[in-house]
Amino acid sequence: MIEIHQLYKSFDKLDVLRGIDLNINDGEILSIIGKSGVGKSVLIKSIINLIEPDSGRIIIDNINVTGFSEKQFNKIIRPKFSYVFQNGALWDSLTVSGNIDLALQIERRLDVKERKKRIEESLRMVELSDIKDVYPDELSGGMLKRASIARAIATQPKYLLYDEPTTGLDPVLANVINTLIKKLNEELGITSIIITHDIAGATKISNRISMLFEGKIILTCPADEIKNQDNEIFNNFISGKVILNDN
Amino acid sequence: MKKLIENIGAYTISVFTKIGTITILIYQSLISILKAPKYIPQIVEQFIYIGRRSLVLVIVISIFVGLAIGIEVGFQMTGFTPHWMAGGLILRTILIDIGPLTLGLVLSGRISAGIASELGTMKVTEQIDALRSLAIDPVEYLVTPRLIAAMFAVPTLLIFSNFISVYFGYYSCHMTINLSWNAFVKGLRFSYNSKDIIISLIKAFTFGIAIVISGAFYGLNSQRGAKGVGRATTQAVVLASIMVFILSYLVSLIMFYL
Repeated sequence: MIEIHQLYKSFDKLDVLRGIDLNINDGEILSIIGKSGVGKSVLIKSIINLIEPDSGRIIIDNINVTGFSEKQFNKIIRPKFSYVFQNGALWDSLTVSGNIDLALQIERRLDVKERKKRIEESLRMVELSDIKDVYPDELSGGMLKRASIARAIATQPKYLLYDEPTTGLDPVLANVINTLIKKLNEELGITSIIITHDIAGATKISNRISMLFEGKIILTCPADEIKNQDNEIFNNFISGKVILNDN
Repeated sequence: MKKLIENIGAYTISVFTKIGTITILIYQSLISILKAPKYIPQIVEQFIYIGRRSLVLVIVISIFVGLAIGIEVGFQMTGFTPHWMAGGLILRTILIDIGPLTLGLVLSGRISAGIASELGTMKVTEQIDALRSLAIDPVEYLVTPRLIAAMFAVPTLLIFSNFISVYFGYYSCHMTINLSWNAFVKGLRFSYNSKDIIISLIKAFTFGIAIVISGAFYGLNSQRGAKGVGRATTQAVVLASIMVFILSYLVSLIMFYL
């Protein structure tokens, strides 16, 4: 379980996160929605300290990680996590299998046989077994996302953070990715936190949906109840109306 | 006036911050050398990469450095100075100063710029964050193998470069003042001092460190976009070039006077 209490983060004079309170339960899929530039990526990057928060507490599996050093994050926290970046962030000098192999090889010290098995398994899960020797710049947008997910699941994480996994994809591919996220959650029991603008997709696969607005979580509700909320900002956002009282 | 003081203050803070960050990077990179066995394939790859990327350039530049020094030394040999002393002058000039300096500057442009642009692109495309998210230390994985490779590759290139420059220095003297091979070798033997070779190699070794650290520092701290990467690359070359001159002076000072 991840518990976030009063998380603050500013960049220069811009306050991005202004007291985030959020809990993520084990085994669930939580989608975080909100306008572009509102700090959604900053929030999930803060969880594994890719961005260091200014203040607040983050408790992961009952471990308070506030003030943890980079070394402590590497040793204790990050092995539990994987992150699917918005643009894939595959290492472009390595093939798809090389990308997965590196993730397994450096810190997890698995032998060659085990690594090979994990590479094949993860590529099979994302249905990309036939492109393992291809370089990232030869992949289409959808393949890139799936390859990135394959790299993320190969390390067998407990938590998977997705940064806009369906952005830039056509509806068919977006559906493929959403189905894949759901499948990984159900088959591997991975707790997933998804940053997304894809309301329909989020509603379909998530257990809960949270909305980030003006640096705070203004609402968290079960995904199947998003149409029954009496929060005007939330209702305007999910119906695509302009939110006037944003900064 | 207040604005001026504020600007001076901000600039001073940014300079000290930069020095501090570079010091931390050097410390982290050197500490990570202890984990070098884990990265032997990357070190070998980088060694070959640095060598292959720079070899042709080094050959061309070494030839012309040798030719130019040969002409200048040959010109000084007119009058009462015996011609055979040209060999010693060429050797010492190239070994102690011109050889390492020229190589250092060439590699600052070649290697430092390459590292800065590569790491800068990785930074802006979140590939560095991807490493961190998987508990892989970017300094350990990206900087240390390059650092170790450069520590060996730059002195190796320098040995190669010195041989070429000295030979073409002779050739130049032969063409201008008709210096014979035997007279050239006599001069070499007369002036040869093993300390010169050590100084030359120490300079190359320290230049290797400076070149990689400059490229890595600006690459890892690159700002967003193509403009940010371009700026990081330029800054890396400038810093590496300045460091080459400073280190050249410091090594000479220490080796000759302390």
